[in-house]
Amino acid sequence: MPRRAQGFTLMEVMAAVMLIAIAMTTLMDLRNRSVGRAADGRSMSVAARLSSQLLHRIEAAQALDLFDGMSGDFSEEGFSDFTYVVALGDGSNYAENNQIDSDSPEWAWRDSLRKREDDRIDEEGDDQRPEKTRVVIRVTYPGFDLDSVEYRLEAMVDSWAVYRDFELYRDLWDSNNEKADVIR
Amino acid sequence: MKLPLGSARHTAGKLGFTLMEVLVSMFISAMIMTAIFTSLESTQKAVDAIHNITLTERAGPQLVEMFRKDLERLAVYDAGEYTLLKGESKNLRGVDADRINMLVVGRSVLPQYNALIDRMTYAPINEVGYWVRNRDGSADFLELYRREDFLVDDDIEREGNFSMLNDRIISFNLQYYREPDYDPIPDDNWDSSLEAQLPYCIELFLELEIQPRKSAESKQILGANRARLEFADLMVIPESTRFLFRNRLHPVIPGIDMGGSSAPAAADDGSGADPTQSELDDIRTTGGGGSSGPIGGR
Repeated sequence: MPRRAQGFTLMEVMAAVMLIAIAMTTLMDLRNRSVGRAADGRSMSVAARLSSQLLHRIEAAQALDLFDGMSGDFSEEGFSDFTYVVALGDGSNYAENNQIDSDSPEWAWRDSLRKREDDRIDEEGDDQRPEKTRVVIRVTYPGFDLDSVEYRLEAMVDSWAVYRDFELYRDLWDSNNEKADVIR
Repeated sequence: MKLPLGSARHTAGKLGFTLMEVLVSMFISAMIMTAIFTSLESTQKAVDAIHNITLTERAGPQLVEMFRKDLERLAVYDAGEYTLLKGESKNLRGVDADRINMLVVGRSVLPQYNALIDRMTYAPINEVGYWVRNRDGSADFLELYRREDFLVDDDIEREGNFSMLNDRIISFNLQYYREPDYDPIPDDNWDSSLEAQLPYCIELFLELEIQPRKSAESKQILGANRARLEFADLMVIPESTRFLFRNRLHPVIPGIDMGGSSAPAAADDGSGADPTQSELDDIRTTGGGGSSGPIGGR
């Protein structure tokens, strides 16, 4: 191309600028996404920590006025963006996981638990509690990109601790304390 | 990109660039430089943000988890004496700097040289403590140490190796709950040899300060810019563990007469598994038989 003496054509410049723009956008996007990933990862570990703290409080029978479907946020711990819902018992409607569809095994399992719980209440009445109670804690927090993310924690906890039934606790364990006195 | 410029110069047979060419090329390079620096700077911010993220969620929770793991492995089974857990309320410069010592089952973290077999060995049971002391040259911070003493000796509080866990502690407070109740009042001290039992739950408060790198990036990440972090957690000691400790179950070789009472069910039941109610009744009736029985104390 000896005929073209100097400079670039408009086309060439535009192509070059285009390439740079694409490269830059990709780079910036990559960076943003890595920050987002890290932030989401941390949010998840915060959610895990907060929910296990709440679970420990329930285990220690120090969760006041606990009821099925109780909700709140963790502003006391400094994370007001994190909200929780506590589901108690096998038959709880609050244990629902919206992400599972009705023909999955987990749904079937939860459905059977719900039926079993209903049967148990029919047979024994509501005040006869099993030894352990299923506790599901669902923590929801805003994701970096997504609107909200859910973290679920599921555990079996002593029923006396969940319902703060200290009579039941004494029935189960207190006689041993007397025994300890005798031994000493 | 310089290549076409150069070739243009040669084919045209002119020397040097026109002012216009220089200006345009300078403009372009300025653009590129700005872009590179902007992305470099924001990458640095991202690194800071990620640093803050990991820092806030690592330092405190890791300590709490370590403490919990130790507490879960209390050596209740076959405890010779009731000395197993001793917590003392202490103060340093007016802030809580509590201390706790306990006997813990599990491989020691620090090995010790064994001259007999010429090898570093790990102990299967250790005295573990959490101690706080003043940090040298700092009026604001305390240092938290984990004490580990190889095997068991007479004094649960003496000697041992100390490894520093954190040197930016503001306060470290432990409280002990005696029994579950509607409104339990915690104790600041606990000596299991005096109480002859374990608390049903220990509450830990930990306050520490980290050094986050301030950046606008981490501001939009939930609470990642905070420097002062507080952690509070409850640790329940399971009733089965407390039961084992209260009643001081000892293993007995079946068939050997232990002076009066025959070896009771207690001997087989010591595997650490939760005893059922009927088993507990069983143990109670057998154990009550004689003070010299396997369950009986001094």
